[in-house]
Amino acid sequence: MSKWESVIGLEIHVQLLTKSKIFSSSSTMYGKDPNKQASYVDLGMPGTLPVLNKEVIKKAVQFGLAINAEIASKSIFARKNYFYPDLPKNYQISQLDLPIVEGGYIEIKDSNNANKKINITRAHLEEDAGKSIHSNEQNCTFIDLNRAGTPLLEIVSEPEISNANEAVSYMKKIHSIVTYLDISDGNMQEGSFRCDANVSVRKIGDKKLGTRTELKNINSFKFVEKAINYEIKRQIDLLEDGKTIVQETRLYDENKDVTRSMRSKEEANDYRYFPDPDLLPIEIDKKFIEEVKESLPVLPDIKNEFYKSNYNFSDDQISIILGNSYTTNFIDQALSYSKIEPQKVVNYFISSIYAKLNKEKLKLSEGKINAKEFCEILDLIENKNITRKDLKNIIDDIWSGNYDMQNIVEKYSSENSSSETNVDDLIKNIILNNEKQVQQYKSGKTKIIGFFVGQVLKEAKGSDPSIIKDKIINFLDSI
Amino acid sequence: MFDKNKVKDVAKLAMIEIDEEDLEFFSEEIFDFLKLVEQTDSLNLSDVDPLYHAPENTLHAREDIVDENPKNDGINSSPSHNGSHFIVPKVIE
Amino acid sequence: MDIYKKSIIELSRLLQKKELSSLELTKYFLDRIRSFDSKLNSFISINEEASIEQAKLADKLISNNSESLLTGIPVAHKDLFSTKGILTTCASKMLENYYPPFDATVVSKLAKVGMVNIGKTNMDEFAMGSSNETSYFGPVKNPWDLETVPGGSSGGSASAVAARLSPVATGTDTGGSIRQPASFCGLTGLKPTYGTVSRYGMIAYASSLDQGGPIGQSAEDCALLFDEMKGYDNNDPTSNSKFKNEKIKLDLKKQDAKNITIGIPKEYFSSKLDVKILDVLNEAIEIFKKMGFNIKEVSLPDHEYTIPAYYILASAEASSNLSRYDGIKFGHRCDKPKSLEDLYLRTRKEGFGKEVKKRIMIGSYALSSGYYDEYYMRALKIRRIIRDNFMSTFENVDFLFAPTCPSTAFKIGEKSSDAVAMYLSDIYTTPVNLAGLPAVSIPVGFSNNMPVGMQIIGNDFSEGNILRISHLFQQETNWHKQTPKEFDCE
Repeated sequence: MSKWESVIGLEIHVQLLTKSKIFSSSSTMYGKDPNKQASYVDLGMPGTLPVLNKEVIKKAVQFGLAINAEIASKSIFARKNYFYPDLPKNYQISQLDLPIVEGGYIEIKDSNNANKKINITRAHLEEDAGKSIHSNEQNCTFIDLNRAGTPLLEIVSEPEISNANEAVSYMKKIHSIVTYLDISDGNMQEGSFRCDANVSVRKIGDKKLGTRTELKNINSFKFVEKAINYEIKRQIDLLEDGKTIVQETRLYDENKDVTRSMRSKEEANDYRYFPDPDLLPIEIDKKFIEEVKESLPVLPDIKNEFYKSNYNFSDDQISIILGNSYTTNFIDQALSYSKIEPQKVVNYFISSIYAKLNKEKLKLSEGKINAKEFCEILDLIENKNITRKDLKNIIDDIWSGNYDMQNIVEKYSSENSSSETNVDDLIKNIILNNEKQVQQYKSGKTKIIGFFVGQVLKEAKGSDPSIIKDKIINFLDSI
Repeated sequence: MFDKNKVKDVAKLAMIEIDEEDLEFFSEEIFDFLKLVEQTDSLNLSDVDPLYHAPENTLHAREDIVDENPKNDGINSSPSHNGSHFIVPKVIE
Repeated sequence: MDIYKKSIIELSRLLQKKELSSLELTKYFLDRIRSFDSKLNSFISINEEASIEQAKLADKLISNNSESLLTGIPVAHKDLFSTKGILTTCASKMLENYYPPFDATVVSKLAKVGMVNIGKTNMDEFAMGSSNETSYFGPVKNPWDLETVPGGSSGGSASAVAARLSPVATGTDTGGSIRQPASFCGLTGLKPTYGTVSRYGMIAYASSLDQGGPIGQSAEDCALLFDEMKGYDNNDPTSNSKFKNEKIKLDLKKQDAKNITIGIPKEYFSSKLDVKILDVLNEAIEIFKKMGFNIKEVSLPDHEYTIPAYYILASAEASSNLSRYDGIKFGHRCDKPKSLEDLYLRTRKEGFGKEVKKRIMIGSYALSSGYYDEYYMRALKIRRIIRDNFMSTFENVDFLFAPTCPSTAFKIGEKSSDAVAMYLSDIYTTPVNLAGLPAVSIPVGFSNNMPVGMQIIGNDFSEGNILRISHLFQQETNWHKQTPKEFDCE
């Protein structure tokens, strides 16, 4: 047993899913030409002023309510002053005193699979910085300020996380909340969801926290785990060698799987926080909070229990249904419309729509199909108007946008009826070409039906054998 | 005491290079000013709330709408750009 | 015709009767600038071509009968109002070659009614100064005595209007920067309630205090200009929507005066004030009394704490506002930076003047770890006391009189070696900024042949009333009609 224990606190930066930036009306779209989404306000040009985006407040309040936090009735923005080229004004508009969200908690599973509560200190709003691209060849750094001013919610946990696994669970839980609420797209590759981890170790039983290091900008669950594990080991090794931990900012190098000190952040910064004199206090009235509360969806944890106890859905099924609120709503609606048993509805959904979305990186929120239409298609399958196999093609057609429900139904049911006539012709041909077997049937050897069914199925693959059998008997009896 | 070393510290925070011969000027001027501020030390302010803006008011927020004609030619004002990026001496992380 | 002496209404009448075109008027004032400004240095730049284009547009508006009283009238803008494609320097080397890609709201509002931007006026660098001596483009002179300062920071605007190089001008007032130069130059200047005039495009000095306003010969001219400057602006988060944005009617009658009580704060009219100035102010107050106003002595304590609080707050905000000048996105950049830090350090060393550097350092210090509570927080609390004192006084009186400055215009160089003395000269103007109130400075006489100004301070959004009272006074007096001799000619 190790005599050391680790203490971890996470700061998660979530880019909020708004159309425009937090303080300007530039688009927040990712991946545009450099500096083409940097307006005069984003560049901090002399005389420009920040104007707050309402939607940002709403999303922060949604998050606060989802984690049972206090929503501040009065909240203020502050300036964090430091010089850095991707920070156009050389101060970041953030929050210090009176953040929009204070308190709250989420629950995760600890290593014994028991529920563990992680308290959240605060969540505050701030503007994102731009991006620096360092060039060795040209010995300079290029600055792209498109990202500058993208709204961020910084979610700060208490130092109550005990190990890397818990950190990942915590991060996943926050990720599921923000994506479920549609507060963020949660895209970690594009940096919409990133994490700083404060890591320290102490002897088991010690009350006092050890000296911590801050691991900056980790953008995947896997790297959070690796970086924290590396850092814990590094700190324990140092302490066991009788050395001390330096309080510093470290960067995780994913290629080498190590953390290293960030030279640029070596000096303790004096950020000179003060209330932003360009921005007046935000007042959030109770009525607004109530409205947001009423429109808040039932959260994943509660839904999870509901699906298990009412429908006996599997964990895999539930994790797909709870992937985002659109999917959840879709399934809930489908379950209420459909007369088919819930398991089947979910399986049909997963094998058709979900498979397509997943494969082609599409979104249910595009609104190509609603739950009612989906149920109509399922009814057609159940009534054998169309086959189960058609479902996939129907979904493709719907996504292609060239069909509406009406003509899709016509297309597939007529295809099936035409294939039915084909099957009828086929049966007729086979029977008329096998006179010997017909005689055997007529003489009472009814088992010979199996031969005809086999012949037909050879040609008409995928047909329902019981229907074929009925048809063959009907025809044989008619001649 | 706002001596020359203090000037150096604060100038660093403010990212302004100060010539050795100007240190005394700034240290004296700032010292004199801070002496003026000391006159307020007698005021008991413990029960007074700070006032950030007057008249006091609350923030108006705007709708989440994207500017259809983005003002994105600001980069042309830069003394060091290549048309797409601002350029600075290489930053060491 | 003595065009230079005329009021906006008089000029507007000539334009509307087609006795004069805006083009002629614009050229006339451009000529005056050419003839006289070498003595004053009141303009940093003129842009003749753009002015003439605007004048031609104004003439079209007039011929279509779609003009307002301001259409075709030249206006000079303080060089911290951003003007699209036109040099905007803030009187700093830092912005020596800066051509903003957009117009300030005030600039576009005035252009929209057909005013002609005749040029950009000199000022203290980044509006930091009370004498116009901190300009990178050299000091401005007072037309009443070329050896004295015009005041600051809107010194160029005041000097230009006083010498009649422009009928009116815009200015900004953070701690007295409209009222003090108006007073030194014998003009009328209005500092509106905070939040009334948009700050968008106005290059920031101290965001919670900066406010744009008009400088003119008379309360009437100021009212006309202010009418078009004010108004709620979506682009300014501190813009206030709580006032009625109506045109000001200068319809106050003498018989209404008896219903108005004006307070004289005894602390402001104490023996500390220059005796000659006190005499001039008392004579003016006598005139108000004769006009029927009720005058009452009141107490407005603690104003001596304003100067430290004001300079702490303004410097703190400025230290952060001016961080953006780093040689990357706009403005001056040092030659061949060796590193990022070298780029910052040298760009800011070369680009800023001494006063600006000093205030950035004071501000950085006041906000720094360990000093925030002692300096910045205490200053904010003093601010509350100053505002509360005004508010309790306004329970007893409708308006307040106050001196604008402790002295008349001083000699160039006289105070530049004593910074604290210079700061203390803002003692009567800064309380109004900390309290966010509107105040006007009007000329009320002369002391040693130099103009003396007096403030009328009102409650939030009372600009209309303080201008009405000023206008009534100006119908009884001629102080506002005086022109300095050297410039009193075609």
